[in-house]
Amino acid sequence: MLTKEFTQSVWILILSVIAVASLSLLAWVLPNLFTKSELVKNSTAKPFTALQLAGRDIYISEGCANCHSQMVRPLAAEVARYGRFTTAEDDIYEYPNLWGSKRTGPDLANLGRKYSYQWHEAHLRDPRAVVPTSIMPAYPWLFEKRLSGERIGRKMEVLRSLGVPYTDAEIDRARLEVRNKTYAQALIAYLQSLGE
Amino acid sequence: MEADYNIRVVKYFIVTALAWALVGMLVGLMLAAQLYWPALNFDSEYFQFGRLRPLHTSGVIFGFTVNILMGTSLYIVQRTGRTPLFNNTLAWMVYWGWQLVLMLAVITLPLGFTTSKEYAELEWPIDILIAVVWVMYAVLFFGTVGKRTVKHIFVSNWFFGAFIIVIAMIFIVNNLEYPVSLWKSYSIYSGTQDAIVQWWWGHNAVGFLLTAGIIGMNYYFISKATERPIYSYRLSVVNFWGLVGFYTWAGTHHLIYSSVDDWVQNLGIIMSLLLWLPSWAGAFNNLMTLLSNKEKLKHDFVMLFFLSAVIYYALATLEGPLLSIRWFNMVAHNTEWIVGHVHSAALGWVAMSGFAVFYYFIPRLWGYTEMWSRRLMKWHFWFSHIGITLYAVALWIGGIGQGYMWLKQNADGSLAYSFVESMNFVGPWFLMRFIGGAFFVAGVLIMLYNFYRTLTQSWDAREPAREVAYAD
Repeated sequence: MLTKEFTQSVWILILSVIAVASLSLLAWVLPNLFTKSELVKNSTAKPFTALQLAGRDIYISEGCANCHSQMVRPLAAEVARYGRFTTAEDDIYEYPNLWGSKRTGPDLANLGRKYSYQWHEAHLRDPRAVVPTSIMPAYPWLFEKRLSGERIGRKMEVLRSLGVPYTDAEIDRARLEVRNKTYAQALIAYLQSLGE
Repeated sequence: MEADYNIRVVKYFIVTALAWALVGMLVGLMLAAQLYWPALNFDSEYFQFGRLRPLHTSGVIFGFTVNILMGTSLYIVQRTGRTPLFNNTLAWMVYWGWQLVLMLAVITLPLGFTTSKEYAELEWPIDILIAVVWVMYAVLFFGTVGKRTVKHIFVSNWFFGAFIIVIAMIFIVNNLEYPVSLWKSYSIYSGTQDAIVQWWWGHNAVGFLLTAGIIGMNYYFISKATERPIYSYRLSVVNFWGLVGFYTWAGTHHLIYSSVDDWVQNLGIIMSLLLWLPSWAGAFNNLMTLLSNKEKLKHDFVMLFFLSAVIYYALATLEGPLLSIRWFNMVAHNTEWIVGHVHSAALGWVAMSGFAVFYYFIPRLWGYTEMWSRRLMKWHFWFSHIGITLYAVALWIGGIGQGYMWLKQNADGSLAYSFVESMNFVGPWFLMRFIGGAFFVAGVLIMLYNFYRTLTQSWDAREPAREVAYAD
């Protein structure tokens, strides 16, 4: 009956497709959106500081997630290589998720404190100076551009309204915290915070 | 009444799709080169891999594929419904609106305005524009279906309909974001929630844009090129409801072994395996249609491109469910194998289908019946096959090797290979992949030259009396 009618009525075609295609939304997309409060309760994750947040936005803007994942799978070899495997509670403040889907370079979920600040500087400036066969692009402009700090307060307010518990005091001093810092300083602050 | 068909807007879409095929694939070739020769990032903020990659994916998905689907759908819906478009002004608004979206993508992505969500990188103002254009496209398409003068809705139009509806649904749900400034926003979802929504979109962009849309286009044009009816009506119904029913469930196979709940992962695995059935039902249906005119198949490159596309589709939809099984996924996830899998489908299925449609459709749209050179079509055909084969083989070896090296542990539990060793292993295979990609793009250049010669032939070569892809 269905096969006969959906080929003869544009409305039946539209409505039946919406109904059938929505089943997955109801079955596994929406239910997962309601587990957030449970995750928050069990999480020990800390919100990013103003400088780390600015660094994270540089990470997003430069497209780092195209080549670096941030999702350690619960496999023995993976834990041996990258450290503690990632749990749902770890990522409650990750707007959006930066799990990535490709490891052209290594996973960065637990990168923080693995290398020194100077190592990161040298590596971002010229990856091949540190890892001779690296194919990572060099990011020299990160050392020239500086943050103005104009948007950071607004960013934190937006994130607060989405569920990140920033205090008024944190938002008030955010601008001074990031102002005049180079992009590299912010990005490295973010990278050093990963996995804490 | 045929004089009232809006063919002009169809021509615009098809030529634009052709241009984007070249641009999108050239950017892809550049990325492949950057992976082997990192100096090609030129220490440039705007040209480095991380900024360029979304331009490649957006270019081939939203530039090439969406333009060809909009063009062919607006043609097929007029032909098979025996009615002109519902509204011509709307048709031009859709065309120019969509080109504006693409222009904004070309400007904003290299500037680093990105949400970072895969295949949904464009920032919120462009997302709103996309949603508006898409709704206009839906009104135009379904409005035209609604005023058809034949009783049945032709099979292609079911697939185009599902493509339009589902892309709208998943696009809007995935792109809900909170603006910070004109070019910066944050997703309203975080962590696992965001990943789930992201792959509900990511996988269904593949399912409904690169699969359902292309299937809709092919059901019409394969039948035309073969000069035979579609092999089985019943199989096309199985194909349709199987895709609409199962595809949207399969997205979480991108999240296997992630921090998403196991039941969500397992559901994605089961549904991916089930998808095998409707995928092969569709492939079989198109294959049998092509084989129903073996005489023509022997020498007709349009049909041979279609045949190749259907075979690559069948292979990719076999590999896909396999990759969703935990045992395979453990090795393949995050490796080049996945990139190879995507490209055997994207180059083999989407691009080959597109080439077949270009070769069949473009000469006829301009009143010619044949391409200028059959020999160049043959060259393009073999260049494409050599390109895909090199590409897929390189990334099978590179990807599987990489996955193995990452997981290999010594007896005492220590890792057998460092990450750098795995990178050094993949290096030469990146070069082979680049060469494969170069063959494929060279084929596109050959095609463009052939079109240039075809469309600049003298008027004698035209057959003005002959209908454009005669009506059903």
